[in-house]
Amino acid sequence: MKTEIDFYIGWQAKAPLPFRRAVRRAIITMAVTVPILAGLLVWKQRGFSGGVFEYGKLTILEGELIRTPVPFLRIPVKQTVGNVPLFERILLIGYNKRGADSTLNQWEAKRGTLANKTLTVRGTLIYHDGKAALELTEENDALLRVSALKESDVPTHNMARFQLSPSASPVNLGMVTLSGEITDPKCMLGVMKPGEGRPHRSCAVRCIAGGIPPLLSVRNGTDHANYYLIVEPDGQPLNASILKDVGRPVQLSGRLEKADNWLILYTDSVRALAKTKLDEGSQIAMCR
Amino acid sequence: MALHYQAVSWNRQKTLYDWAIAGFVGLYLLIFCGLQAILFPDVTAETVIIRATSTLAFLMLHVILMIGPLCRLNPRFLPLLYNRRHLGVSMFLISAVHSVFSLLQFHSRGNVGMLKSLFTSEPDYRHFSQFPFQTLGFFALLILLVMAATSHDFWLKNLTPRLWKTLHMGVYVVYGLIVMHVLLGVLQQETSSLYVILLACGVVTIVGLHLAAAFVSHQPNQPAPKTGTDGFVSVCDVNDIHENRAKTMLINGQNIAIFRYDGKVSAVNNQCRHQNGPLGEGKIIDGCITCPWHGYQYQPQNGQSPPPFTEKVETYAVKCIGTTIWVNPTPSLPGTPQTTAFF
Repeated sequence: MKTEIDFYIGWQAKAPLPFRRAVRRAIITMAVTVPILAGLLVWKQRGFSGGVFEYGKLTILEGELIRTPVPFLRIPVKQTVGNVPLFERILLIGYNKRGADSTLNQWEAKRGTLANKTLTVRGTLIYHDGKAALELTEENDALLRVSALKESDVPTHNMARFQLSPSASPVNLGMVTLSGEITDPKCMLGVMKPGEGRPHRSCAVRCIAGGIPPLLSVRNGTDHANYYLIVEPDGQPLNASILKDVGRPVQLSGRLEKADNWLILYTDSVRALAKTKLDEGSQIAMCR
Repeated sequence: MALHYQAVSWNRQKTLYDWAIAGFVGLYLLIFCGLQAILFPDVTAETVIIRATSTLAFLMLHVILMIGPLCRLNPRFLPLLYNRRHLGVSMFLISAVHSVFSLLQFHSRGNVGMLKSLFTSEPDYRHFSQFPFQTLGFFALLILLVMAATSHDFWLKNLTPRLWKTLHMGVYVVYGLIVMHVLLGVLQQETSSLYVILLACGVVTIVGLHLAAAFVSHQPNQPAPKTGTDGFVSVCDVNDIHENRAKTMLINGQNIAIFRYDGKVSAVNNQCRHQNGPLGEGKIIDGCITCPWHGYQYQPQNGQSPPPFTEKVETYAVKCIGTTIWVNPTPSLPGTPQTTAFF
């Protein structure tokens, strides 16, 4: 069958020349546009935190278990000039999108009360901006040893040994009002990037609903962030009541405490700021 | 055209088309993922996959939606239309990768199931800016799934072209859902004005091309045809139609294509049985009306596809008085032979 010069038929072996020329032009346009678009879309991203999730690598830590208001493992990191030990708290977090409490309760059901005892645990480290968390990846099997509190030993190979501080009590920093975004510390510290913001909101809701303590991320003008763990004024978890405010701008007021390297905000005052560009610009928020 | 259903009736142009799709998909993913690794080494692999596939699928959707009006504006782009369904299915598969990774990343391993989490994690359905944008993406994917699953000619024939075409017009609903998904989702986090500009350019291009195509396709008001006493209507002069080409008329609600060829005139329904393609924009090749969209063919005198094919379109009685063409707008059953009208 003769090819019609002015008519295209897909099942013919070859398209007529004018059609081939048009398609060639379209392909050249795409060949130029596609790389430019890919480049622009990547280049203009806000960037990602330097948080680290040591996925697949288990670390053994030894320290004092602190259960309230949120579960920590308290370990010494160095000694100061006055020979006063400096401690760091590692936030304990459960496997998947769950808090550590269910795993800790299982441990206690087997071994009795563990609070303020020395625990040797194995898990996956997550750390960023001077804060660290340990995911109890192996759940029940993550607890290797339990012992009574004792004086420190010399640190050995990959195991951080601790020296007990008699004063594990947090320091009261007074009343504060803070504005920021509530997210979950597991993602924020490095499991997900970004671990905050609108696309991550539903994940943060799942993590907090699963028992991971909520975290207030407060950014200053230079994009540096401070993090505050949030609990009720009496130290009880407020996870369930705060879910609707996760992942959006909020203002919180309450008592601030410093627990070694972590800040803990005791609050029941959560006010949504609702300052999104869409709400302000269009004023089409429906059924307000 | 085929007598039996095959997964894909491959031919050279389909092969070239699919290689082009694969090439552009590979090029985009290579550049996107490579630049992510170079410019943002801290990013996680999951985020790279989610963002690379989402932006690629959205870009492909724009291309898919541009092809139709481009072909209306310039038929030389018709080769892009010929195998568009492969582009659509590819776009669906890439969207599915984005959706599965997003669902696993944000909604799996929690205290409720993934689908329940999808619909309940963000319960603020009442506020525009807080609307759970991920549900919009979910419904867009569902529509794409139905379209991809029914893209084969088996479904086209069994659902009937009219229903199939209506179903596949859902791509415009998908586009609207995805624009809102992007606007209420990632653009609330990635606040560079470039993203807003790119999105606006995309929407303006799609809307503009469709409006331009509609404007070009709009036929000026035709003079009211003269109706004879025998039900025939005078439609045009035979010299108004190029040899082997057609003129289309809308008479009494009938979309009629009147072909001139070899000193004869025939009239058939303007809609191809395959995908309702515009037969009147086709051409008589080897004695058959050939649809410009996918090359389906019909004999002008009886509206039947040449044996062994079985497609049929409605035919209309035609007569020539001098050089004036008269058509009876009452359709005969598909495949009904008509008396040849000579001029």
